[in-house]
Amino acid sequence: MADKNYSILIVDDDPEFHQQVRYAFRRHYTFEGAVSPEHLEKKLIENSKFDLLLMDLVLDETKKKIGLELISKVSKIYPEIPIIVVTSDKRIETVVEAMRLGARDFLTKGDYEFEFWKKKFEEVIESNQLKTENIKLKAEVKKHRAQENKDYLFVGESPKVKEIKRVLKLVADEPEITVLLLGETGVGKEVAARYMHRHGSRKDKPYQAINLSAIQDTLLESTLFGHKKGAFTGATKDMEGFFHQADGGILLLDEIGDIDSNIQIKLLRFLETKLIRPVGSEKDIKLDVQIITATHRNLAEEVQKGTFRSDLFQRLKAMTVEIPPLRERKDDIELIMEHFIDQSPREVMSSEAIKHLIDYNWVGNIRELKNTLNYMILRKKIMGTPMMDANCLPVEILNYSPLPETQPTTNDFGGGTLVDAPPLVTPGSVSIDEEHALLDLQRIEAALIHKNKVKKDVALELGFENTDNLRYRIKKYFEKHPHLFRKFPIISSSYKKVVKFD
Amino acid sequence: MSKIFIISNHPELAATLESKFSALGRPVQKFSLPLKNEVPEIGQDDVLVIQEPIFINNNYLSASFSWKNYLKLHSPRAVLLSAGFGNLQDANYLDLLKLPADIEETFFQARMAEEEWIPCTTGGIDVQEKIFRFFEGHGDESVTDELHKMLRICKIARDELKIHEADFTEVRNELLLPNKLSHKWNVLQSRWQFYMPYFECLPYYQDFATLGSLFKTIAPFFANECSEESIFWETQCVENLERLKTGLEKIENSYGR
Repeated sequence: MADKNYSILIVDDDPEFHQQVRYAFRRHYTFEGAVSPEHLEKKLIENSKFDLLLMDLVLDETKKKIGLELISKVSKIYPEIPIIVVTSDKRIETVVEAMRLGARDFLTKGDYEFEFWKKKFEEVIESNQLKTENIKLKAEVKKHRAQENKDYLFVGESPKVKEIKRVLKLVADEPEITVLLLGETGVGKEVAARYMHRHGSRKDKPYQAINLSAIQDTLLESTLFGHKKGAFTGATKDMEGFFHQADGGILLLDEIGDIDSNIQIKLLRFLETKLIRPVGSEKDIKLDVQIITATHRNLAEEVQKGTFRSDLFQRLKAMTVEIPPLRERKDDIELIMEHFIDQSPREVMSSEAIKHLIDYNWVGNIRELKNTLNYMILRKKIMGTPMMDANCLPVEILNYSPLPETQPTTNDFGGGTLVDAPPLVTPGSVSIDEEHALLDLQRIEAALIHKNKVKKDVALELGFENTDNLRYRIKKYFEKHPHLFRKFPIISSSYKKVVKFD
Repeated sequence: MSKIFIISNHPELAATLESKFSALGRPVQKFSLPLKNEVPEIGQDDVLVIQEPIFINNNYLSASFSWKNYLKLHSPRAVLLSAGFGNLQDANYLDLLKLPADIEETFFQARMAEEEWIPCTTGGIDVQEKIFRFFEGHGDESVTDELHKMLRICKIARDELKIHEADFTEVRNELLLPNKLSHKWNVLQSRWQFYMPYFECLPYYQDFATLGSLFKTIAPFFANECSEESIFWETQCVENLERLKTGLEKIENSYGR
């Protein structure tokens, strides 16, 4: 029985040699044969799936080494088929020439030994398979990365975005610096992180991103730092964590404000020593990873409250970049829309609809804009209209009335923000902040009704990454503007743990 | 004092040269071909004068080139002179019809074996060319090509019988007969016999002769179309063919390239 059913093509003008090799290896491989260059060409056209080609160099009475020419041709047209030269000529210059032209190995007919030849066949076939797989994998990674680059394109030409891009490029060339990205949910912090990866010295190295709030606390340490087999129940084998997988490259730790004190200490240790220790291991591992962190929280406040380590915060905020909310970069809205729908909005959308979209406050930022566009495309199909007009807009955008004068908001994160937004200004008795909160709560209330209070669906509809983020948003509004919640009974009853009236 | 060696199958000529060289006051040794058990022990600075062409086994052979290769390997500073009746002008040629008056000067002017030069020939069959043909890997005149084919077939048969415990009749019918092993044996033998007369003029002829004795040992297996398994094992077919191959490779590596 054949143990590895490799298919081998013999190219030799001596029919007896074909018969001998087939006979000797009949239990192991299947064979086909060619006795001339023409015959070889025909065989390869019929079937190019051979695992190996055994090539003699002299193929006719002229005694010219036409096999050398064939090696060159076959290697170019069928690079996936490895070639072993099997000939009577064992002169060094012949071997060198054959290898130079593309042969993988060389056997002399006079030195036949079954085990030696079998080992050679399998070494060449298996190393070729590895090589082919490696090429395929590299191509897939390249394709995947190209797609990711397209998906995570940092779109925007507004002065703020241009400045952020400039800063990110500068930081990208300083691979030892830790970067803290700040901004509301949905502003594109991961897009910014990937932009930095693409433009830095680590662009050909791994990029890993993890949303820390999405991982259970009990699993977070092992997810980040890996674990040894038997470290805990269910750890059936060694596993590399995100840090290890990002070795040489960049790791984005999103929602850094949500990690507990244990992980904070370990992250601080890594930042100071570049060492990690997998769960259950007794050995430290040295890694070379550039860390980018991101959060929508006010870390300075968290430090004040004692939930975030001051020393870690000092390390993280060394280079802080704030990504502005979409409402503060309205110039970019049309460009971002073009990126998502792959054509100019003016070609597929009415001017009125575009105006509504530009005027809207986008509390869910770019993620909300993307969801809105998907919704509009669907509405257009349902309505059968040639263009996306105002009727395709979600009700809250259609009914939204912009304030006559808007001021951007910012967080006081206490760090060396490179791209600073102007400080919050409260005009009159109602702040813009409160105005936004009110509008946002209206949306949430409407969505809760619409989705029968299924919070997961509400979060999805409103463009939140998960229900925790939605809950967090409500909690923050309640802390700042509790009086507003009297107007939203559905929110209040659905989030009793967060909305606690005295 | 350096010696002078004479290789010639012409007794009178050899005697004339011996007397001429002896007059120089140097020790002189004569050899005739074939060189059976006695090979001239030519040292550095010695002189070898070889008849060109030399008549042996009904052939006029030109052995100077092969001897030069041999000396280059074993006594690179020795001097080789071809001695013939052709009217040739060369520092390493001795015209027997016009022997120089100052022989010592001729020896002094001649190039050493290690230098790059081609010995003069005077119409004899080039023995070195026969050596090349004998060893050539891919050709109808090659002995090693035929030997390699036989050895490969015998090794496959051995593995089938020993490792896979195959039935000998099956191996014979499926491998030995289709590959005409007995015929190959005959071809190998006849080619061997064809070349040996040419090689009798070589200093390493004895190496060929020793290897040739292996033929007698192996022959019985091939005699009756390879019909007896017991003889295959008794004659140690694979091992002896392997010995033959290894011995020939040794000669080829030294003098055949």
